[in-house]
Amino acid sequence: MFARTATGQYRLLIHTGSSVCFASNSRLVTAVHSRACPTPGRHINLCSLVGSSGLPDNCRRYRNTAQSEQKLVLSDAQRQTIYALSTPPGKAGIAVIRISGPDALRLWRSVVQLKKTKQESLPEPWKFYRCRVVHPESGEVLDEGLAVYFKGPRSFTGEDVLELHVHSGRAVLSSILNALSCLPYCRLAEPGEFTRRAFAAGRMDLTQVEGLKDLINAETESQRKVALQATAGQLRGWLTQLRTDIIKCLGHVEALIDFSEEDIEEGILDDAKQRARDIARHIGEQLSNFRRGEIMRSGLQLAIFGPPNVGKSSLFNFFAQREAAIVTNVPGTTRDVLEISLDIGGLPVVLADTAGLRETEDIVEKTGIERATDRINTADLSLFVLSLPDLVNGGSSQDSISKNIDSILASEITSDNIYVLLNKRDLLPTETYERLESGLQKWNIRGAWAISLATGEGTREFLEKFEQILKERYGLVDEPTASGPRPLVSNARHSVHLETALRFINAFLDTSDADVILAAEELRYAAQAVGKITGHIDVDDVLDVIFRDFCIGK
Amino acid sequence: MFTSARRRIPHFARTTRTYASIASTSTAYDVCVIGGGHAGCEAAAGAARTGARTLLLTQKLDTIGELSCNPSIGGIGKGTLVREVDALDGVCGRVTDKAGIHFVMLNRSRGAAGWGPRAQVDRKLYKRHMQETLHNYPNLDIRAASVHDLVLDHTVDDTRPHPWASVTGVRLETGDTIRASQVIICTGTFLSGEIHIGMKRFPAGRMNEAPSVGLSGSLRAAGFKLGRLQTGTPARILKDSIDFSRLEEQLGETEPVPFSYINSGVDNARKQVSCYKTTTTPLTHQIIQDNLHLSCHIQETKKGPRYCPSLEAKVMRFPQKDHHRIWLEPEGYDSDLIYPNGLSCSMPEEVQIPLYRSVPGLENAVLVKPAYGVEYDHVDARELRPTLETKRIKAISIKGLFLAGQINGTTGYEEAAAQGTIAGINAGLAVLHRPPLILTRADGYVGVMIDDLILKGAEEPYRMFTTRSEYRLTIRSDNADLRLTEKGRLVGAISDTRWSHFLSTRNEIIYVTEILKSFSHSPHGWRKLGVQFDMRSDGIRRSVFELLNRGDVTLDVIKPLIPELATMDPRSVERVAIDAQYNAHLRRQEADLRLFSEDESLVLDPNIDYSNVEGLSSEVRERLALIRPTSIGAVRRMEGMTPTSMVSLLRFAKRTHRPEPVDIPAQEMLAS
Repeated sequence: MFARTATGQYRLLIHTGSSVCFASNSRLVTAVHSRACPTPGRHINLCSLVGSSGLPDNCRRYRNTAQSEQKLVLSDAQRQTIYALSTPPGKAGIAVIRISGPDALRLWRSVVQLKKTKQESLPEPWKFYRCRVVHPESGEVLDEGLAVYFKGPRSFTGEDVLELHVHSGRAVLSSILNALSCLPYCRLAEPGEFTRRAFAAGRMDLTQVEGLKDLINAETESQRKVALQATAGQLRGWLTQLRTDIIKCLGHVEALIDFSEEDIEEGILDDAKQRARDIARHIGEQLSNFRRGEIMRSGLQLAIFGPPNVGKSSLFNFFAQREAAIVTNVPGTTRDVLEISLDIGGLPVVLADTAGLRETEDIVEKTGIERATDRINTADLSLFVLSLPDLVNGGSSQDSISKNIDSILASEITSDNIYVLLNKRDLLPTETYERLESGLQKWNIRGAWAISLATGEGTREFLEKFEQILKERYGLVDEPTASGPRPLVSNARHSVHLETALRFINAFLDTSDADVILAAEELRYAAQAVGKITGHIDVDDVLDVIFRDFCIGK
Repeated sequence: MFTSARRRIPHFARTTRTYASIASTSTAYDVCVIGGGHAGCEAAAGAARTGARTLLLTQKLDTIGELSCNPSIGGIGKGTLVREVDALDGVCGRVTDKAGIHFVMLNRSRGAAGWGPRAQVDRKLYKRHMQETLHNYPNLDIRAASVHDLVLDHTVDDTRPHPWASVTGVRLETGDTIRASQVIICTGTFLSGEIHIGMKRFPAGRMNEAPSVGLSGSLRAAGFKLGRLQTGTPARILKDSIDFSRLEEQLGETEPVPFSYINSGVDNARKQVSCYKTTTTPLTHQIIQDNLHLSCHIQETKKGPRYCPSLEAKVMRFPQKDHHRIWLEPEGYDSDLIYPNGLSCSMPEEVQIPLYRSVPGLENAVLVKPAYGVEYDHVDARELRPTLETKRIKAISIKGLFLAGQINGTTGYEEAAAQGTIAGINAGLAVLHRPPLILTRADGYVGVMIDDLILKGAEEPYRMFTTRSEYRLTIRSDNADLRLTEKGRLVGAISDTRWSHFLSTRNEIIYVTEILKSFSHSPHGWRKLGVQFDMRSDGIRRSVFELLNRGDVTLDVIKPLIPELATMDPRSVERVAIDAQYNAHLRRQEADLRLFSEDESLVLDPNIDYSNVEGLSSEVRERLALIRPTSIGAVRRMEGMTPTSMVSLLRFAKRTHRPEPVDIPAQEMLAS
């Protein structure tokens, strides 16, 4: 809902903005002021993937509710409905996400959207439905595909099973898996868990027929190890440290329970809580890197947007270095979202051209604009293209032009995900452009460039700068950033387990000091979640800490 | 379930009596237990309870029930083990209630899941009551004898791929043979025991008692993998030589909680004695440092317990600490000895005197018996099955041979007693050709311990901690009877007295639960009753059970409102309150337990030829061949098992009965 509000707000803003560009300067300034929300909608929307604490916004409701009504953070065992990608990722056009468990139908209702007429009734089992897969919270369409419901016990696992047949792109898959992870009653399957359930249901014949190995699905232990080994040394180091930290934290709390008679220094619980807070912070930071890591794998989503006829499609073709998009001087030529994959400075980029944003009565164009705004909202970065002559023509003096451009930059670039291109500089009279040039350097720093796609003026400089910016943002440069080098979480599985761990650590922190044993329970679940990434945390690991850190024994 | 149990029990009881009367006409025994320590006593009693004709062999009749080290029973985790033994109708809980002279509930402030009942006991009383109990135990004979060897039948069984043997009895040092189809070895530290004091080393099980060397040889010859472990005990100090005046006194609790579920109080509640606290000093540590070269025990790299280290180990591992805590514990009413808990060492006797005298209060201490270290053989417990019988897989496997106690790498009276109970009952059941009693990690600490031992072995002497259990909130010291007594009764190891006592306790708990769940009011209603807590008036009725769970009220606030509670056993009321308090957490743990039991119910044949199982790496095959897990759950807990190997083994798993819904909190299930 939050995201939806934000999205709605953003749509409104874009419309205001685009119409303004063709109006007078005074209105433009007013429009800038009318922007009430300091954070652009798209930024909030990104939050729904990765919140500031690292928890997706729509997952945050698990927090802080732990003790109020004795509603505890659900353990994995309580989340009996499991999901997993059951086809090898990236190897085929279609991927199958399999969901099994008592809440499969509930999940269907949350993420499967059929044609409006059919939406209310329950799906007929063993029948394919063409559907949209939507985010359960924001309603955002994640993909279009097929869904089929196998009614238990006549299913692979004997439980209610749901299969989503969707496009196999990494971005699509990760967004769907991410969306499923926000449903409190389901969780990512353990390696081999589907097969395990199939066996429990007496469906072992099926598994034998289909071949055991494939059915352990993509999420196998060996893959965990490979993934762990393949992760950058930095991340591996981070995970090892995380493991050590949480074992130490748990060890100290457990020591308070088992060795309360011993000489255990006072303040151990406070220390453990401080340690837990540090761990939570680190995990939060790590999770906010998740999107960065995702970009490395699935490509950076870069959207071009702006009012009609400012040269968006020319920019698209400039990047594509071919006539991928039809370019005319008729406003509203581009009506659908066009996509192309690029490599900018070693970074995989999915560039999208969108319809010009304006008020229109044309139904096709309107749909195009809706798609454009959706795309802009979900993009990692976007390029806001404006026509320099349009801005100048409306202005009376050099000062006011500069001021207006300043204002636009000030408003648009409040989100550091937006860069501005002032196109068609060749159409300005030379003296007008020269008068503006003094301000250009300032704009460059803020991520705005004046170029001409027709003549190529300024494009080279823009490309170099933009490449540099991407490299810095997405960690391809060797120099550590101001906040220090941070490892990327490149594996969706890591992030799911880190989120779980974080929920339990927060629950631990929320438990009163008087209840050490109950607090320890939360920490044990947190350690379990961490162990799923770093290798099982055994009681011996915990005891090792206890006996190393405390002199136990009379 | 209830009715079926009732129907079956008289049947068992009948069989038992019939069998016992037949057995008693024969000169041979069904079960022979070697060793009269804590494991041996419970093993003998356990086997006898099932109806098997049982013989307890011990070197000296007088040392039956000896507390070789500290004069106390119980503790955190350990206390729960005693309760579990008691819930299976074992003897140590009842004996402790008679022999205890100082009772405390450890962790009382931390909540019931951490409670650890502990008692200081009078050594003589403990021995006397234990011996009395066993001498009067039905189906049990006791004899003083030293066992030299096992008598084995090596007849090759053509139906099995590997040669194996079965026990037919034991050979005594006198040369006599005693026939028995099941033998339980509970030799403690006596298996090739060697005592170390300073640089002196000599064979002994306990001070002045001969070790058991022959048996060690037989086990080795049979192919068992033996390891060496170390432990130690402090010197005993003459009570009158200690100046207690400056030391902190620790009193027993005025209302001791008994260990046994069938006792409502303890014998010596009104005449408890105190313990005293003191510490080591920098001088103590200096003396240790200066004399480390004089201890052969500490110089060797064999594994001693990290949680109960000798003073030498403490000083070496924690040089930054300038003092370590010591408890001076009385050895009994008419004993003139004090046990200095925390001063275990293996320094030469002449060093021990100045060492002990560097401790406040002990300036003039007279050492009656020196401290010593002991080193002994233990068997790799991975050679055992969940019944504690040795596996019948390879040549080393011997049918009818059970091992219990320190021989399996554990330490502590309670750990030994718990193993003895399981080995004893199962040896008895084997005689009667009944299905074994197998307890899992979900059933109790006994299950946790045995599972740990048979899957991982003991790298160091194994002691119970609550940390070891995944289900700490569920398996508590207050509810061992609800967890185990019915299981014990179903195999025929619970006496009628115990069973009827248990039934009345359980009914009362069910009844109290009903009361606390049905007594409900809206927030407004509660306020009118004078019960204040932070809750807005939402008109929703909440029961006492819910309020206890939310932590809004305590039992004391409620009791005056429900006069009927006063007529109930306060322990039952308290137990229901504990379940209420943990209710939300127990629900969550229940889901974990359900997954656990599902895996446990998928049984694997330990005789699988792993080389024929596809999809296993050679490393995994090796591990499997060593452990030979008996369930998919055990595979999951084994080290180095991948999900792929688990799935490959699934094909070989047999589904036993679908696990019943988790019976915790048991009273709730029973009530429904």
